[in-house]
Amino acid sequence: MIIYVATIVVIVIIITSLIAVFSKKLLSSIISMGLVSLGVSGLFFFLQAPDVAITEAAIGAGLSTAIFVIALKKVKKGETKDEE
Amino acid sequence: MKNDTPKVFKSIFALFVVAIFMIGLFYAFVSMPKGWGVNVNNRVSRLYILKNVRTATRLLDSGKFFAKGMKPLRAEVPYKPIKFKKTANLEDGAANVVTSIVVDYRGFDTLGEVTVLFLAASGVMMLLFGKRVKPKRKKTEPSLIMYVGTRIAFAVIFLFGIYIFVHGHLTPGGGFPGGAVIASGILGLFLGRNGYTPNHAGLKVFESLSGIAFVIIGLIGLFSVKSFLANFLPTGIIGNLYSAGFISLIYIAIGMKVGSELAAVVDSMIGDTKEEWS
Amino acid sequence: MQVFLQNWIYLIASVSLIGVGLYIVLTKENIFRIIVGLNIIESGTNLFMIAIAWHPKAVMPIYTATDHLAVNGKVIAADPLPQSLVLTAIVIGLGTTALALAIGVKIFEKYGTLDVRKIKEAEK
Repeated sequence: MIIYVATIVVIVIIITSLIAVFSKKLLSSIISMGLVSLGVSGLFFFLQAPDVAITEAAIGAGLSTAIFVIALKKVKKGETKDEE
Repeated sequence: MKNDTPKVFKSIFALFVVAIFMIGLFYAFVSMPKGWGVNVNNRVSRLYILKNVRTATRLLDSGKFFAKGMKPLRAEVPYKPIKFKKTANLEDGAANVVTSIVVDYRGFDTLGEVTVLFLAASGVMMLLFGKRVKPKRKKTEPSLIMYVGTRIAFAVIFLFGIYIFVHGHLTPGGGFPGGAVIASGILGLFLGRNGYTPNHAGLKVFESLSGIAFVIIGLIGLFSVKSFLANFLPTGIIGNLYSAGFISLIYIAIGMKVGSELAAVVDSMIGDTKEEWS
Repeated sequence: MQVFLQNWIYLIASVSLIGVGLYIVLTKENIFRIIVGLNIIESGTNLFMIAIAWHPKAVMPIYTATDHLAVNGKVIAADPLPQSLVLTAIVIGLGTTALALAIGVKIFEKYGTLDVRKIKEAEK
């Protein structure tokens, strides 16, 4: 039964990664990358790997996104001009 | 950008490359074990789960491993059942098999990974090195509730991180996620107040001390058991807190090292610096 | 239906993530977007390595969860070896991502832009 929940999660993360491709703003692309990491950590739990799930949730969805946003704040001036 | 290729051609070419790549990967996957076809009993991991590697090595040395006509060799290793909270004096007493692989059976690999992480962190610090510029007056100060709340939450998060890496050999977790949890708590402190700076000397001392402790524990194994990073403490009953020998010691060292390194990375990313050299 | 999903859904997910990340790396010009693509590729690779360690009746490889990781000498747990490799690979991935972002910030300080084409023109 849990395989159907996993299927829904897979569909959600594929749609979210497509948002990361086609969004105009860089910030929404970074946020959707964090959501992809969160969904993948849920899939790790369904695949019976709780250690990896904890690590991915703490690092991929938390710290990685935060470091991206901090680095984006440093280059904010150039980013708005360069997008299209 | 005068003679640049048009965007349509670029995306069509990229789609072409991705399609070729995905078709190739799917052809590779057809022959791979998947779902019901995966059999752990034919893999090396069976020895790790049954905690029987030393017997297999002894059989391999004496030549009996390959004697009986090359059948599924690893199935021939004798098996003794393991009961939680009952079985004592195993080869490796950790209840969490992933932990026993990361720290004990493949400890040298983990030492290399920690070295790579240290190199990456010191590269970030070297690139963003410079005189710390005082931040300009921000328009929005975080409120008092944010300031007090992050400090209270930091205590709870710090305690949870320590719990994760002390119990690494019993429950899911270990040094790497524990250190990441502590680093995210420190990130919360950064968000709570403008111009927060951690104690840099303390971070450096923690990081170097824990790195030295990892190597010293390995050297004790080298001189007492004659193998680098060998388990030199008694392994106890599986499932107790004081079991699994040196695994909890090494995980405490890894947790402190990863936590202070990631906190230093966040610190050097978040501060505005001005180059003095160029 | 259930057997088909158990056999294929995780592999489809990992291959799609790798393909989407490769498309981002090939087409986008902003340096930060390329790093986002590399991160998505990394997620897909980790998912693939965990998925080939799993089978539908597997239990967690932890003796706390259950006593019966092995029944009559047959192991029924998931394969712990790829899990331990991925556990360290995720942490290393954060370190290399931070290093790439620091290099990107330095490039912006020197050239004043993040577009790879403009950087190439400024080099000439």
